[in-house]
Amino acid sequence: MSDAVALPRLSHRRVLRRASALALLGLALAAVILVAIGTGPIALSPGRVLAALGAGIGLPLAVDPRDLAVVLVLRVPRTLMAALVGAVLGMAGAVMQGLFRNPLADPGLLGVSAGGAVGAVATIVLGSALLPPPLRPYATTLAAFAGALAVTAMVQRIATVEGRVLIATMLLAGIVFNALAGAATSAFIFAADDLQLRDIMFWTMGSCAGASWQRLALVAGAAAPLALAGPWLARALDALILGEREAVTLGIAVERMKRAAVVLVALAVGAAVAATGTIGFIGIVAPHLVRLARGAEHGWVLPAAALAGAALLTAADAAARTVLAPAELPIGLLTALIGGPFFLALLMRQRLLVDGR
Amino acid sequence: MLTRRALGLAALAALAAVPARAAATRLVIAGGGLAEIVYALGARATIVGVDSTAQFPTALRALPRIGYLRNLSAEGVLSLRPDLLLASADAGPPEALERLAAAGLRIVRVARIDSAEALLGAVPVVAAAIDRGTEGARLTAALAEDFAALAGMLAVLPGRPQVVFVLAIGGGAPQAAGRDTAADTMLALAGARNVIAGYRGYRPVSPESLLAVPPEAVITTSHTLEALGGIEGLRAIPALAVLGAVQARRIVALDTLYLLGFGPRTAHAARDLAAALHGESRIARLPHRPWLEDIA
Repeated sequence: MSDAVALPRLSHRRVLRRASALALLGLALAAVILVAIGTGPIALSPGRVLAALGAGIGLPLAVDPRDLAVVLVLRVPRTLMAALVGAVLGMAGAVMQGLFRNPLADPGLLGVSAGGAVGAVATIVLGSALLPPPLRPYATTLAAFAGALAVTAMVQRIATVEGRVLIATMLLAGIVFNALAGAATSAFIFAADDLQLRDIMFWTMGSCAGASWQRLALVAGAAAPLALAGPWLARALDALILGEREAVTLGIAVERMKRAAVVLVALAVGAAVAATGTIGFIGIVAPHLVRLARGAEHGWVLPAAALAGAALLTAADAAARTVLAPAELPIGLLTALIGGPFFLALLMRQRLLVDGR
Repeated sequence: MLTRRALGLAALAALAAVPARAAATRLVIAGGGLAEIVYALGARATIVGVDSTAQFPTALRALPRIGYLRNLSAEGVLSLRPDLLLASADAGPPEALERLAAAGLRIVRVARIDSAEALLGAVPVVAAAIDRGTEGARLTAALAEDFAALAGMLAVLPGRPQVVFVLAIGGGAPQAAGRDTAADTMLALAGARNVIAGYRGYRPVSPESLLAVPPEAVITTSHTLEALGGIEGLRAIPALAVLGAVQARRIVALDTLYLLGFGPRTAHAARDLAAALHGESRIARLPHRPWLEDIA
């Protein structure tokens, strides 16, 4: 494969510009995270928050134990979880949109969320008596993760014929399995009592409140492969824009890329859904925001969508736990409130394109 | 169209044809608390069907089910050939109840049981509906006596501990009971104060808000504790782990239906909760009552 048929390489200057734009986004995310850690129903001055953070990393500071609990146990893991899940949803959304070559695609198409919901709802209704007691607090998380992976594996299996991933078939299989998983969830809901119903309802609206270091480790571990594969995926997805056959002639292992993308997305989003429940719209809003800002090259879109998704969800979570205190707003409500109108605007624009006007 | 509907109604009516007003012998109940009252009145044998909220005594679970009380099906109820439907305030949908009434089924609706007073008011209504007036008067008197005994013991105690009632199964934000909940009423009956006064119903609670008004004890259901694998599981939830009450293991877990079901066992449930909060030595046991006995 000679360089003559490779994708046009980016000029040095554009790479630099892109890097600085990403750095800027990173700084913005860091700022949002700091503000989020400083925000909450218990008013703490920035000095006390910083002192608690300092004590948390081992500095010899005298800090009120309650401040320590608020900052280190309640706010930091939770804010990091929101950032991590936001990044996963943002980047996974961008990958799916590239893979399906459809601006409205998201990981839900693979059945990740619906499968996760089946697992979670099953443990809420049936209980977790099968698990040993130390694992039981994580029963819902583990079952949701397993459900997400199982449903996605079935969709992938059906859409793969002789090693080729048929995207249109995958879309249809995804619809079928979403419906089947929805039916299974409904069956559990039918069997649930009033208190279980409330649990189910709030799980499906998402929340970062369950964040603990263990859950963070699970999501980080599951998201790492997707993040590491980012540069490779970006190149392949850029080539895919030209069409599958063209991408193959450009030397891209298209089928391998498609299979890998589905597996990596399912792994990362499955863990995110398991840890926080279903959170919608970040996977649509974040990629489109960054495309509007600086174009659709995946080398830019994938990392930028991750950073933007992280910032959006971190901000949404800070609002969710603050605005209605002592109650907490479901985070899915906030993301839908922001994402809904955005999605609609996108759909209206898309509608004109589809009509060929 | 009209004739078909009329035919349908006539068919439904035929299914439920009953003599005008004999004592009820085939009783269908929509509401777990009402089923417990009927059981306490000694009329369990007349029950032919219950809704899914009727779980005590255990023997009721073997009866035909008419589904969830808010989602009754008229035909399903009529298929049991009942001569009386005892329906709680939550029973519905209204269309199904209308259709049942149109089919000639006698329906007695009982006002919502959400307090000791409402319970004492509901017992005579149920007793009259199933022609057990004498038993009804006896049950009402016994329940009133138990509630009064508990209130008497609580009145002499110096303080009202601040507590929180939480449900936490799914691993997300624990839900805490606010105002206008069965849990809130039970806390009051047990001589405790609910730290959550800022909202109604069960909602995900902000962990920091809980920490700001630290509860002296955490109340939950045995089902929650079981689902989490015991007290250690509760302590694995960050929002609860930071509470002093949880660190000191001041956690009280009672059976969901016993604690929140609002029926004849409520006085004893409130007593057990009070004993757990104030100390077993300060809250004496209430007299044992036959309706506390489970029947498998």
